[in-house]
Amino acid sequence: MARLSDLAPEAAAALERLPLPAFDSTPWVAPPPLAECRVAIVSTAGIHRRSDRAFAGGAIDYRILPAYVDPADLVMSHVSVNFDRSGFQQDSELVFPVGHLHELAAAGHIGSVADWHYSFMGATDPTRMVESGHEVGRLLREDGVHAALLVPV
Amino acid sequence: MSALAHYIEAEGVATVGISLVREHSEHVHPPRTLWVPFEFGRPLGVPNDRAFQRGVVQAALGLLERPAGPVIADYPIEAPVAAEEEGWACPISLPPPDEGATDAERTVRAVLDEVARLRPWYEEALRARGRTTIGVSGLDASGIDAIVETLARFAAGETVAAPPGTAHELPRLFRYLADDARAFYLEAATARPSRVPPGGDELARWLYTETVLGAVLARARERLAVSADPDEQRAQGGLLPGVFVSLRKSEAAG
Repeated sequence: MARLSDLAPEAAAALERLPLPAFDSTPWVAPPPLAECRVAIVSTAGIHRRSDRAFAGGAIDYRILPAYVDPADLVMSHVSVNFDRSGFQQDSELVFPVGHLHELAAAGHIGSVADWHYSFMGATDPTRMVESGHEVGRLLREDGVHAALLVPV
Repeated sequence: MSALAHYIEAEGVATVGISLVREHSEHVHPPRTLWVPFEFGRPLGVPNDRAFQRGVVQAALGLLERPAGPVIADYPIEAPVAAEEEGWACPISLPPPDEGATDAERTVRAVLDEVARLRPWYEEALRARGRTTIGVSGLDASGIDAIVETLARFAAGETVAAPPGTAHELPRLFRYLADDARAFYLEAATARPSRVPPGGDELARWLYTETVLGAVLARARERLAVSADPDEQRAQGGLLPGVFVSLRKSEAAG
């Protein structure tokens, strides 16, 4: 796991069918040294607070997660059934490592942890997420975030 | 995921993405990618292993110090597997699902009995972890009987209504009911503290091929698949993975 060649044919075919956007170039921002970086997590695991709206199929919107969200408050409403959820059920840090960021900040490895983190539902065609993706980029920038750690599921 | 990196970095925020599918990242070429050799659903590799997870997070963040890109790095360490994973058996002994039982009352009794057997282990998991992931249907764990009964009656061909307190309309509700039922089963199955729980593949095989709930989800999915209602047809995918539809069929044929 997981190069497509290692997957069951059915799972590989499903992934190959996913539309992927083509980009002519790659943007590049040079962040400050890591020990000065304010870091946020952007998840595509379809996680959110229990009181927040569940993700629907084809969702292009996102949910916000505060830096000190109680792990007991996290649920996952990702539309796909083709990945393991038992890991997240046992340990939310496996998918949303905000506790690791707090520890790294306390140890001086990173500068600080952003106040707000973001969660998308990753089964949606990413070309439909242009607007919401840029919006999250702007929100991160306005929060003084230097670097986003993108965590899939 | 890789596309989001483009959108966010274009707004002036550096990004580094963990990737579970190297080919996707190669195609989309986001600025910085750490490809990891872990199963889907486990981007940091191993639940409850802080040191292992920390290694992945630090390797990813370390790519922010690269002077130029795009860069794709491969994480070199596989996730360790539990020694007893081969042929893992759920520590909770359940009677085998009666594949011939299709009438509603028998199916409901069987799935409620299964839930009752799992309940002490679910409670143990809740106590040990201080959390449950049940709740996307709008019900909490006290609604688990209503959740599985609704699925079982639908699977047996009855007309069902959304249980009181649920947050969605049928048929869209079906997948959220299935999510919460699965959470109850898997949280219970991984509760026993003396054992290292196995990976997702073994747990999924147990859930979908060895439990009454698995048979119920398969039958509910079959019913949705042949429905004339396009909303019902769309709802089928949230009940169980396609690979288990094929597997169950081939086992039934064999």
